[in-house]
Amino acid sequence: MRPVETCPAVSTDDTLETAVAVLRAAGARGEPAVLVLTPDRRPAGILTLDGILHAFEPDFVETTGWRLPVVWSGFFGDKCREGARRRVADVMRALDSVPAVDPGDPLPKAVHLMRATGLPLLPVARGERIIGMLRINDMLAAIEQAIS
Amino acid sequence: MPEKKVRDLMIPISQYSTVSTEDTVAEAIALLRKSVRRYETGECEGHRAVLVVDREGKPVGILTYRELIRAIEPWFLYPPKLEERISWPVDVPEIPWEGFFTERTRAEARRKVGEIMRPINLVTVEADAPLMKAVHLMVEHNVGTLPVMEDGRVVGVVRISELFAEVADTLHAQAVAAP
Repeated sequence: MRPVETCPAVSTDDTLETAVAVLRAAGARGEPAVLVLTPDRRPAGILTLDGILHAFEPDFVETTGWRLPVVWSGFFGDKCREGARRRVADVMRALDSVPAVDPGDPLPKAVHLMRATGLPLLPVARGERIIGMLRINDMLAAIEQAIS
Repeated sequence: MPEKKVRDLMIPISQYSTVSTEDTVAEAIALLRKSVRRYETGECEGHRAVLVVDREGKPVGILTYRELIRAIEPWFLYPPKLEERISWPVDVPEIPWEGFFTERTRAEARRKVGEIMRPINLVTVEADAPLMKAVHLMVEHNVGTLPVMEDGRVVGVVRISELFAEVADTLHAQAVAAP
């Protein structure tokens, strides 16, 4: 687990343009996602690479469940520029919808939740208070340790 | 400037780490961990997935963290399909979670990679597809790595990190160009 204070983070009020830069720097250090904090520094969400890419998808794909052949050309640059002005709070995965693990929970519970949520990190909470994040990198290290 | 295609961002298959369907899961984990350690130390841009090839060297699957996590998940919690959209909020099953991690992980480590890999043709993208199509396929199928096809064969791999870097570069270019 990585303590909350040491997790790379962005603010709910940041724009995606800012968040993209932070997430890119974090990714270069092997971090799979960043924590989102409220302006008063309380953990509020998780921002992942696919969360941001999802925000840049054309609206008709999201809203109509489009299944017919789609002309995909011409959207990428335009959607990036549009999406850059959106706020992190609008695209993050809110922590109140993500099940947390307790520091004393068995690893199989974390394994299941990581697979079921598709998230590369999970909140670790003691009672109501989030104290850290469990990363998929940490899980792979635990797997390697178990078989060595 | 014309919009980039998947071909412009993909990693050619010759530059990607591979394991054999006959290798053990333990060998694949060691390869992934070695790659990730090099990534984390900045030694090189490691891969978080490996291609799986058959005895003739033909790509037949892909193995990522997600397949490994899925492999050691308690069997009675398996989803019906390999890839699925996440249904939020995610429930936590009321079951006893104690025990089994080490035993199950060791048992899975002895299995063959071919038994737990994601089949290569499950979700793919064409080399000449626009980037937005790759974005959509990754989001829709909840995968971070897509095999890239041309003339019916795998020619490379495009990852979420390359697509994300392209977003970052686009935004940076926009900021630089702004008055």
